[in-house]
Amino acid sequence: MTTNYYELLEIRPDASNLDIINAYRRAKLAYRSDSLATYSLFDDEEADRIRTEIEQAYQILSNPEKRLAYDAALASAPSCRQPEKPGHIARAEAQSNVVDLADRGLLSSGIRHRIAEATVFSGALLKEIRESRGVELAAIAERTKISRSFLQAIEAEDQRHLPAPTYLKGYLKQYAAEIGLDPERVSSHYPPLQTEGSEPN
Amino acid sequence: MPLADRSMTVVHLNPHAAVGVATARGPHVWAVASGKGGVGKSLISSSLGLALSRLGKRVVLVDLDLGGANLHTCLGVADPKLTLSDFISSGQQQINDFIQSVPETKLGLISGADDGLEIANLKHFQKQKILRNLAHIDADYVILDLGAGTSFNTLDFFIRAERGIVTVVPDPTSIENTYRFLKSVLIRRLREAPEQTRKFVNRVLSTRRDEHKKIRTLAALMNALQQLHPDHARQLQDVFDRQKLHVIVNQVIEPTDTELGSSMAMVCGKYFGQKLDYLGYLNHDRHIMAATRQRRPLMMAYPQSRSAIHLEHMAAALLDRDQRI
Repeated sequence: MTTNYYELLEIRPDASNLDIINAYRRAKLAYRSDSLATYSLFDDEEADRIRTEIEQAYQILSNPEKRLAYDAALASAPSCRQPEKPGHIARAEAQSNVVDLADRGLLSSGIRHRIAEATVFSGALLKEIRESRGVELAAIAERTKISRSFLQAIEAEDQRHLPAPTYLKGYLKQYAAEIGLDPERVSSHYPPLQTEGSEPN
Repeated sequence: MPLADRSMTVVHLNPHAAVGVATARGPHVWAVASGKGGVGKSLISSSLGLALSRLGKRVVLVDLDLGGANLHTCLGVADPKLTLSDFISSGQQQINDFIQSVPETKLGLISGADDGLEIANLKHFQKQKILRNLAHIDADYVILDLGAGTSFNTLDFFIRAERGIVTVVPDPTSIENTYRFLKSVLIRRLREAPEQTRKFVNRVLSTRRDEHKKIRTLAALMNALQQLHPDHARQLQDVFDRQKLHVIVNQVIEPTDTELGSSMAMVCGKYFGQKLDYLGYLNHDRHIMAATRQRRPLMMAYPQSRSAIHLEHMAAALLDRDQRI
């Protein structure tokens, strides 16, 4: 890991999109090629390198998916912490954010209770569980190679776009595993798969 | 030895406690300095002083621009009766006996005027005498107006302050000297770190010198320390954290120069790894020159001028930070 983009742009790890845009503008101003502020500290070559980093930082942080992946990478590389105080706090917060995101689903007793009690895994419930665990639909599509439109149809219980039951069952199990649910339990309690003939006895 | 006592206790204090709780151990001390002359130190120190006194604080200004003192002129004290030189050469007299009042204000002034040739080249024990006695000044706030440049005397007065304020103008020479000044301040402060930490820093710097990847910035040094020995890194950071650094941009003409202060703060963070707080800017303002010619403080000659109002806001912002702790 090289530069911490949050530190580079002097923003907190939970910065909003607006914060990021403003910070990017400030950084571009500070390091622009005719900037007085860099005079005598950074030569052209270094300023150029910093400008490239600023562009990279903005590319990543302004894209929600790239940012999520970057945050995860940042959290798993605690060895390259910055020494300065804000850095310390920022990095600790970055880590706690990530942990929080993963834990929120697991620890939120409401959802846990509902999963334990569920007799029906509706598309809406599945979506809620997935979101509470901070898992993007795109990430599931990426890992399972199931098309995103099928995954959306599963969550919407959209009969017209669901695949044939045999395929659906397979997809549903993979999807359930991705969001940390028991595949068998989900596939046998998913309403569109429970047609009159196959009612569980 | 009050000085030794003081520095010993400060070392073991929580660094954040050093700002804002100075009353038990003497007044708050702010220092105003710059890398280059003629960028508004006396204007800013006298204006901050006046603004604080209007906010109900008891303020004493100390003109430590030794050899070039003219704070008394800015404040309209024509012929200072007692000066810092008299205090230095005095025997047992209290520093408070050398405070004179500034007409029409509640400000106190310890003037540096009427200086003999020798005062510009203060001897070590004379500097120590001044440093030691700052804590005994009877005031809520003591503001030091320092000379330009990076002489050891100036640096040592500057690092004595809880808040160090540097003034800069949008001009490459001023900016270059400001960075040089900040660099000198931080290097000078290395001496406050525990001996083990200093030795470790030296070792890191000397081993890295042979390698291709030389440590070029203080931020890079802090990074290297953090990786090699987090304890020493924290010790050093604690030393740096004892003083808050602020910057004021003066003589702004072009609209684009209004962001110079925040850009400098960002660049300093990158280069020094230390926070530089941007306080605000002052426009190039003919009222300032006019007030100086009248030998009256700007805030009294033109209290409604934009610069005077900006300076009042800066003082209030700093005071707010002291009181929030």
